[in-house]
Amino acid sequence: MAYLIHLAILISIYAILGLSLNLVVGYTGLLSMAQAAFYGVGAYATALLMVNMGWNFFAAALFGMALTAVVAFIIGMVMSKFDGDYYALASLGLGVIIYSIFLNWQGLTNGPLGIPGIPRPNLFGFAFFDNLSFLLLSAFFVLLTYLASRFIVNSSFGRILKAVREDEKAIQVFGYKTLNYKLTIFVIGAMMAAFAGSLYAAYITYIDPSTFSVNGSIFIIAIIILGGLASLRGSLIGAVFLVLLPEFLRFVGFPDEIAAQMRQAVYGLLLILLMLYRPQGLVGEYKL
Amino acid sequence: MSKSKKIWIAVIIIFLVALIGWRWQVLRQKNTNAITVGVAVGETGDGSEWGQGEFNVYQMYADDINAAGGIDGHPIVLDVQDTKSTGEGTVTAVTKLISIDHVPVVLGPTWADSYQGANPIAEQAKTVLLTPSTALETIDHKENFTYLFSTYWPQLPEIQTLDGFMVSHQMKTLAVINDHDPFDTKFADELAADAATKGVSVVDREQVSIDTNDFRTEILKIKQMHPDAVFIEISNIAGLGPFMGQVKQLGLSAKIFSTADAQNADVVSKFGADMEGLAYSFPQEPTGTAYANFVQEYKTKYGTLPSAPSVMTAYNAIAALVAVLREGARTGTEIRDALYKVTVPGLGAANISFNNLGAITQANFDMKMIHNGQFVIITN
Repeated sequence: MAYLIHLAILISIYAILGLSLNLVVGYTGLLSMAQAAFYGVGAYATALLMVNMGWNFFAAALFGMALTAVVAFIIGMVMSKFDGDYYALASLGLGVIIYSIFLNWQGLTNGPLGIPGIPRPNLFGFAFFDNLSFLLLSAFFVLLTYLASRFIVNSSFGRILKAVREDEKAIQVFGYKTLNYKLTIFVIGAMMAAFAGSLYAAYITYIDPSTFSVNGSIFIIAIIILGGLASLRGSLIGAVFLVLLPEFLRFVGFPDEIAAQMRQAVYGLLLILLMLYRPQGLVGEYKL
Repeated sequence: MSKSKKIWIAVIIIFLVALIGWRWQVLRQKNTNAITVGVAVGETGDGSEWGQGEFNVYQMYADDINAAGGIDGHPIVLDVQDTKSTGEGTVTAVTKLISIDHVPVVLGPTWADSYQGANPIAEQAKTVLLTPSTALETIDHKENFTYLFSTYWPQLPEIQTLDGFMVSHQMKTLAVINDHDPFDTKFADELAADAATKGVSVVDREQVSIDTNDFRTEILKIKQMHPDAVFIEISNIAGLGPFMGQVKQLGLSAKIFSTADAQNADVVSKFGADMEGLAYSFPQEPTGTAYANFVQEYKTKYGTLPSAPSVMTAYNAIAALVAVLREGARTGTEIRDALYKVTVPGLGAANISFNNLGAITQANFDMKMIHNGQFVIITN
């Protein structure tokens, strides 16, 4: 049971990440490769405040989100100069910069040694020490994130985002300042990713830079592509699929000597097949 | 049939196969009345060279035990999970071993110093983690993790052997290169600090990414500082070959040092003359042929020489575990309590025993050098 609860918590964290990135990529058409960096900023801010200054989880997470908003605003302004593939490359580069800061600013982040001993959240004396209570907490925040995302995409603001995705020049002709819309959704997405980072830090109780590298961003993109771009349900389904599939493969009886490698091969093959037969994702409405 | 239906059918088939596989594993363990030992190794990812080597040693040792009748007639079954050499993967592997497979002890995880998330989980579940590739010096508040043991060499004796050699050979200046792995970073930091107390000035520090094979920028920067010695500590052992080759190409004349990982027959055979002159610390071999027999058996079974840096420490880990299992320890707490008292012959140390922090107590090192493709002792 503890194992299933553990997987459910991971799914919750990745679901929030998927929702956050789908707003940016799926609904607005901005192919950002920097989401793991924002995930990391939230995680590190929360970890440092809780471990070094004894802050409560919720206060630390809010601060993490605020800090990430500032970082994302600055990065978003820089990336507003780019379009299309160049936007993706620029975001990749900025993600690498932030990862390098995690790794090399040892006085603050402890570098490769990471930050251990991050306590679990505590709310009015109730400690979310056991995994079941942590699951309920993270599920609550998945629901909150989903509702917030649905509100955004169903609003007039959301319609503008889709219009930017389809034809930015056309919507500019109507007088919309698309930079403001893109920047806003980029910051909102980053803040959501930061909160996912806070949850991750408090759950695993140890963070190090390796979790927040470009590979992490690629995994989050895989979630939304597999689940479906411009589909909130797709973000949730993608997270479920990409977390559970490799775990299911643990139970398949491959010989121990080659089990791990076979699982990787089967996992990759299944992803390829899914993309061949369902390029818009499991429940997506839009292809990249 | 629509594509969506085909995809869902495929998902259901995978789920059923996994379910059948899981039930088969559970039945296999029940039917054989085996002693199940959890194994959490990095079979994929950055730590795969280490993890695969550790797994090979465990399998070889377990096969030998089972061929001789097992432990009191019970065969050892290894329940192997891949940590993927990530923090999340390590937590998932250990959680699965504890909560689904109910193992009382886990050999591993690989690099539990880099991925510390599993330590509190095992502590709470009273499950022993007996890891061959963890520097306990990097574990914050280690005293809180009484179920965590490591057979990896303590850093300080090795550091003192290295910088003692430098001092005895009148080396006054040192450059240090390490990658971003926590163990390597900690080791390099401690060596630099200890060397400085002995009058060896650290003139340059360089950091590289874990899997790099291109050290030319760092070598050129170090060359400008004219150090007497250069110490390199990287997790990707195969990277020592390109490093040494680039040192020679770029004309860096300093004496090059590394750690026990450098004694790797595969790397030496692949990179040949480039490895000439590399000096390194290595655990003192006890008198006898234990290590040679181990190498021969490994080569016979797997067709290759043992190359992972943690093969000896993995051997020591499973040897210590089997010793306590023979004493009748079966639960996590019994195994833990027995490990604090056990003494067994080991590789690289005459005896393996643990102190009250779960670290091995014996670790003496020689200085060795690669010369004409051989590993030659230069001090003891």
